[in-house]
Amino acid sequence: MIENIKFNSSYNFAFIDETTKKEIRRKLLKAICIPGYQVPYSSPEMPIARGWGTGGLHLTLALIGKTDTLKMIDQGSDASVNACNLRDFVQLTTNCKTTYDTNEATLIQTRHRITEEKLTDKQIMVFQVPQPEPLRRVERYEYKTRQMHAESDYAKMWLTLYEAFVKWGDVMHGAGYPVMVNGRYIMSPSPIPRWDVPNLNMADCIYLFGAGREKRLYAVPPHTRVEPLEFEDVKFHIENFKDVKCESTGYNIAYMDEMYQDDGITKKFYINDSNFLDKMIEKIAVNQHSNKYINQLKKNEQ
Amino acid sequence: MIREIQYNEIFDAQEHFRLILDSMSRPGKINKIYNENISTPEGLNNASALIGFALLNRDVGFYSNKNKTQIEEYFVVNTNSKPVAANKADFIFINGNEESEVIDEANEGLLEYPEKSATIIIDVEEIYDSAKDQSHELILKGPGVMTEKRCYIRNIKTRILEQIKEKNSEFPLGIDIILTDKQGNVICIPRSNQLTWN
Repeated sequence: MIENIKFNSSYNFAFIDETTKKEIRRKLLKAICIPGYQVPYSSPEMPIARGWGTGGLHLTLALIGKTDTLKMIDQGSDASVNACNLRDFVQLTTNCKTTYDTNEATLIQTRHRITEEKLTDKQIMVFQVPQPEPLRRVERYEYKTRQMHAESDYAKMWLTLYEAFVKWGDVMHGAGYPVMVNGRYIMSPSPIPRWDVPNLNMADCIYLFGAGREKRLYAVPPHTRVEPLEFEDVKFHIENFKDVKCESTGYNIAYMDEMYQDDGITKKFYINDSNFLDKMIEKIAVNQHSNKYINQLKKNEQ
Repeated sequence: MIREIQYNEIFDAQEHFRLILDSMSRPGKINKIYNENISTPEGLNNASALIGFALLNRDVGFYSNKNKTQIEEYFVVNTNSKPVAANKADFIFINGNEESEVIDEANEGLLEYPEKSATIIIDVEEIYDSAKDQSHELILKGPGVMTEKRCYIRNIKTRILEQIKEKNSEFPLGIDIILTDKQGNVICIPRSNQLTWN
């Protein structure tokens, strides 16, 4: 009996052994209890190199069960190399259902985008994070950044934002704009574009972040305040695509990809989220995120 | 003490973990964790045992003050976890019916490492989402809760609620609470939430 059950397969369900899964699960619960705080975890060896999505993969594999439906995206696309390979890997080790449809998925692993469609309270989104420490650009030592988080001492961060404004007239973070979670911890939202940052605020779904190379995981529970850092007089703003239109759909209130054509000079724009683009082309109803920035764009459009 | 062979440590653990995660992310949300195939020792709710099975292993220590020897043996046999002193424990199993100093002693973490704190699993008589006689009304506010969440607990000592509130007064230090009842209903109170009661 033991032979049949235990050694039937050369690896465990969802690849990671149960002891390590338990450790990741315990840390995930603590991460949920302290929103925005980076919890150190074991980051076990995976068959892909650290820094190529292992953090996201650890969380996905610790979470996934037989009844889950997985969607895997990379920069909004279901079809890019990172997404395809990680999806195949998870599918191979768990035999779970996979999908491209955002609404159908129960578990979504993503690299650097939040889906354009709104997620529900039945869904969990897992981010692959390259650099979890938002303060690393202003302080190189881990023990010091840890102290800064402990004391909520974020003066250096604010100063950097101010200096950027003085020097360039704007806060220059394009991706991974730092956010304040629940009024306590500054968190890096992983390199998602500014477009996605407001969608972290007061969401219905759970957002989990895994940084495999840096061995940190953190979380934003549902209905949690997530505010981009901004000054009273210099406000956060999202990307503006008002002068361009998606070549396939004519829509422009979505995050866009810029595609250079064969001549190397002209460029066309397409909606970045591949499932959202497909649905727009096929004219299937979509339930897009709404936040004050997107609402403002929609208002301007009218 | 019997080894629970009916419990599937891959799939049952995964399923229960997801329910705990859901409850922890949405404080006050009732989820049901129950497995009729296990026989827990006296004084330990079925759901509490399953939470232990899902989260305990050799890397962590636990503490239990009710029916001590039997429950300790039960968890050691089934999870390989080790019994330790209350102030060192990662998981503490107590009874909501009895006042105890264990909560005061529980590890609340360090400012640099607030996650090193204890999780406390409290057995109560009944948890429900609408008011009934002799029940405490808990009101939760904070991350995971849209405006405020109310839930109702029967048979929990007011002193325990006071201790939890005291312990969680200095966020991010604090303890995280999981309440279970005899029917397998589970709710969580993470330290990030403000707790008041009537």
